[in-house]
Amino acid sequence: MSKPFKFQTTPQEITDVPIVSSAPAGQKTSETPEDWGPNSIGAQLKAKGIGNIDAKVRRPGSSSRNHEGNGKKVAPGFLRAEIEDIHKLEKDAEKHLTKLRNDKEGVLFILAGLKIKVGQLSESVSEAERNGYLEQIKKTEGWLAQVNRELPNHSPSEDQNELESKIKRWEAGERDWEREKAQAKSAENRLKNNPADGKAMGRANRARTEKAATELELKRIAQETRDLVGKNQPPSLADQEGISYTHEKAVSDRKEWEEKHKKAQADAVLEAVPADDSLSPQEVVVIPDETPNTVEAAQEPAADTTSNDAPAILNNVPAEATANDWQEEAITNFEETGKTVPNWDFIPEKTESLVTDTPNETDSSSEIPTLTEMADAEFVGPPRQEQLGQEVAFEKFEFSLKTSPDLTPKQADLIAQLEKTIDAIQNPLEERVVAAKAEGPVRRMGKYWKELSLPTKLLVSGVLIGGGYTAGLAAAPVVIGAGIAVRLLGAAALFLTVEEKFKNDATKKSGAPLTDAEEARSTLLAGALAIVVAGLLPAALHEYAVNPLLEKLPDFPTEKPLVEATAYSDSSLALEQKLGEANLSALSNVPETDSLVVAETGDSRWSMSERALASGPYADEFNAIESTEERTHIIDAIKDKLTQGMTVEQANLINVGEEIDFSKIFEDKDFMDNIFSNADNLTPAQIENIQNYEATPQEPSPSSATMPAEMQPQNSAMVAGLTEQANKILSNDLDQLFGSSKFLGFGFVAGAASMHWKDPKFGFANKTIGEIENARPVASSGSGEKTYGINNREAKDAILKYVGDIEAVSGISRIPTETVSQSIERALLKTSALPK
Amino acid sequence: MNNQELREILVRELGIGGLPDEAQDEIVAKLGEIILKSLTVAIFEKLSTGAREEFEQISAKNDHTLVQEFLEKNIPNLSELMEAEVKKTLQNFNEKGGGEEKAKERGME
Repeated sequence: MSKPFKFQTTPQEITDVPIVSSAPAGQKTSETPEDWGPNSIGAQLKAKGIGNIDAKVRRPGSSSRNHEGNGKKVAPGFLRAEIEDIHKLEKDAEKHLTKLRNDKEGVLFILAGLKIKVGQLSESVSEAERNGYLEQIKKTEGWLAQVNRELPNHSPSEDQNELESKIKRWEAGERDWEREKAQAKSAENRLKNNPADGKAMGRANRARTEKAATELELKRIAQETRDLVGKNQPPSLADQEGISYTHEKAVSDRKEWEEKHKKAQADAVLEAVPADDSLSPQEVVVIPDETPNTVEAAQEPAADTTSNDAPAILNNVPAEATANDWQEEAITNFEETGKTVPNWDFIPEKTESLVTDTPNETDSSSEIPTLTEMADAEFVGPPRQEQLGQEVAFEKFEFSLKTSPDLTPKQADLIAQLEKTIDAIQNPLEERVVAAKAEGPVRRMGKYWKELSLPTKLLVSGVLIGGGYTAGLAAAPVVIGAGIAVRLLGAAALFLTVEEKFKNDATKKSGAPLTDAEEARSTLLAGALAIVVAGLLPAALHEYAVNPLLEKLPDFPTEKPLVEATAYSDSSLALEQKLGEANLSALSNVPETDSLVVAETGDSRWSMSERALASGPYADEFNAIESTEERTHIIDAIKDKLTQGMTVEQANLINVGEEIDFSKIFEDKDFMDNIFSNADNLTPAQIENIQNYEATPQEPSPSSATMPAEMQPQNSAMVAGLTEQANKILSNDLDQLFGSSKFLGFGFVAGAASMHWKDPKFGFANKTIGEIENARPVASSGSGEKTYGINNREAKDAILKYVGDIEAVSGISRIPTETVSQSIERALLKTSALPK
Repeated sequence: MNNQELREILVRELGIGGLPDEAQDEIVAKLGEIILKSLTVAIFEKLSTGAREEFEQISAKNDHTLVQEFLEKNIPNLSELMEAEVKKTLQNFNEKGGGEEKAKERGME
């Protein structure tokens, strides 16, 4: 025979649960042992001396948890340490899962890169090379299979979607890079043709910077992928605690335990149950076949278990005391050996593999190659000129003119020495960053630093380094640049608050009102701190805070600098050009013609048409024309062709950064030949017409971008907050522009109180930007006659430059119908952390 | 640099008077960057794991007053911290080969 396993009275008697069903018919049942009838099983067992519970003995049905079904809660504190160990196991399992997911992310990225590369291989590539890539793909898929075996709820279709998404992202990044390469080349060509043209130089610098930024971004993605793969991750918790009970052993132990457990349970029950067959069906308790909910339960590799020996623990468990879940076994194991947590390392050791039957695996013990190694094989991305690694947080410092032939030997020597000195300072700092796990914040902070113009960097650095001297300076460092650039980087409100605090602190310290130099120092230090805090913001939040529009762009790899690093320069274009020369080395495979023009501040479709003609496929022909009327005629024709079908409003609407591709127009050879031919044969009447136009008669008012609906404040509280911030910024900057005696001899008045701003007829406060631009000042202030606002040439130039600075830093385009104050609000909305 | 006086002080103290202007600008900007990175990690070091989580939550609220209060509470001596990192960086710079004295030794000043 074999009787079914029955728990019937055993758990009940030990836990003092009355045996309600075994009472003879008619006998009253109750809740306490004292009330058990003399014939009850409980009484019988009690008589035999069975009934006292040894807290350390494990009983079927009795778990260290409040296990639903046994009818009794454990006492508080019962098995507290063991419960904590379970929680620790669960946390470690979660950490392992997270690491696995990160590793999987990295592997998917590598796989995406490989597939992109294979897709890009030309027909002429050798079969050996192609097979090499395919082999690598196979290997990478094998790694993916390894990871998926350990991850619960894995869905192959999700992997496929993720892979496609990554490929799309990378391709989008590469398209951006190609486009920016082309733009940089175009800008370089224009600069070569017009070396003295500051605007051309500025465009060239901006184009180089954008291209370099995208290139850096692609490298950063590659670097992140390398980190994800686990090469640089710190030791796992298990390693740190020196735990050596391996995952594989845990899995094999569990399997063995389950088999032994069932047998042990059966034995224990059989020993405890009296030879009494009068048990009602309700008393039969089926041993629950619990599936442990740990990681290894879901994805159990085919472990190489050769040992048939039961885990040692079972030898120590009394026959009648067995566990009914694996965690309790682990707890007991911990008591025995002090070790329960498995080794969660994902990368297989060379002598050990988690998987022995991987279908696609060719070498299970090989490590995942780093992207550096893959980069050497030119798997993905643009040609790499240096090793991936540290350049994102700490780049090797090299002077841009170290190879200049104009350097004297002493200067060259000093430059070499300073480079070594900087490296010597950076290396320990880098170690400190790694130890503090602060790579993310430092990297982000470095990114903001790069976005600042050189004059701003120098001001901030100057005040930081020469801080002790600034109080004694004869004149304060000008801070407008630092103020706007930093404020609109996304830490606007924080900057203003911190600036106030620094000023207050400085006042308290000295006890006297601050000098201009001290105030300037406070402003610059606040700016420095704002850069640091912006770097400390979590990346996801920061992206939102600084580049809200980027959330709307599909497949955008990561954030791109919103601030044009060179656009804000007012005096160092030459240096910035030199600094940009490092980027020129990448300008090697760019198409020679350029029909793609990007709108810049102040552009119109007319001016963009002119640029396209001057740099596109008809550049030689167009540039050879000396007659202004002929050139105007041609530009006009192109512009008309471009705006065919548009309303006047649409034709006038163009945003900074918007691209116009003139290639379709230029490819129409008949049309182009016609235009040039007509220009060559203008009638006197036509010439006179053209001459009668003003300077740029067809040029509509400058870019008239409207604020996208999603960027408009959503509620009155936001509007109030925005206005308040804008007013603070404006007030501060107006002080610099028109306040005090610095500007044109006006007395110590706040900028907002100056006549330039508040004059009812000419003051800028109530004038739209369009009105300011179109104003014709009647006389220069130098003539002795006092003029204000739009009636004053210098004041007009200053305020327009200020508006231009706002645009350059924030990326907005001016709207002729808005005031200066509204322009700042819009810039703040775009770049600040205000919710949408 | 917009302020000539400040520039002259820096160039003298850093011992880079013998270099072309562009190179002087580069080294000054680089030192500024290092100081700020040093300050970033110094602030980060002072925040416990719990404080960093709290900072993330506060940052998500986009309330600059809360951010500033958090910094004042967790890093009350921010100005001193800034000064300390500046001093450390400049001391390192001096010790490792930069500075006016070394420049004089090399005959650059």
